Amino acid sequence: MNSPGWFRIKGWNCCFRYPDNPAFTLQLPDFSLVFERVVGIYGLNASGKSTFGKLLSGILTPSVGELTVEFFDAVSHQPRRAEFSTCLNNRKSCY
Amino acid sequence: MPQQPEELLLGLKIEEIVRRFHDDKSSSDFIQLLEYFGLPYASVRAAYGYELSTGQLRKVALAFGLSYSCDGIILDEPTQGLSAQICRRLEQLLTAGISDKALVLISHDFRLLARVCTDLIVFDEGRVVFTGTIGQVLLAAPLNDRVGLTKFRLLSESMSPLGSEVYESS
Repeated sequence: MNSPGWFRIKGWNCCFRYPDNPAFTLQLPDFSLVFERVVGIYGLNASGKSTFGKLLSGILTPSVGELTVEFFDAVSHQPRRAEFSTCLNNRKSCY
Repeated sequence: MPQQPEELLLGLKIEEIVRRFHDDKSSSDFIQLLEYFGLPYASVRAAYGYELSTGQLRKVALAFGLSYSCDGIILDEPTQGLSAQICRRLEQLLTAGISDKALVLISHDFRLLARVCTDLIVFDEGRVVFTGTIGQVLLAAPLNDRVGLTKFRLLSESMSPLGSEVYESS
């Protein structure tokens, strides 16, 4: 569980393609979003929001680049990788 | 939690799910959340996932994901397949905060996002087209037209209070 702090989602030139669906590409040029507890992902159908969630959770891995979620402790300001994993692989998991 | 988490639970007994938790608090939270969603644990503990209805399985999946001990949870279209009453309960829970966990809420329902979230990432055709607060996204007029948010800008000042509207079934 967390002490007070905030989260940061950060992407470095991240790109993902499904092997069986070359028509769709998720492209995340360098970006960063800091949030305290709750962030929404919005988009129309097939906009990439679920793919983004799978990348965040670790179910999928970017084809290129990197996407991370870090937690910053409010006292030390030191970041650590946040655990948003899945039971689809063997990591500690929410689901 | 993926959009169809039920598929992962079909072959498990509900009491086996409880045994997968690493600590007593998570087990206790799971059982309390089932009750909160109107599904008493005693009524389903011996059942296999495939014996439950889609809505019951969704409640089990939500309770499991929300009670698991970790930094946060990613919910992908969590209201899908739930009744309006349970949607309201879930929204109240998410709005109040899930203990001290972070929440990443994926939805095409902007009203839900606007009530629960402070910050937003907007996607369009596989690209991030906006990051910022809910207020900022509503002010981004050209973007709103492109991703269908214009109407929400008009509605934002008269947005319905919590739980007073009919939910879309996605």
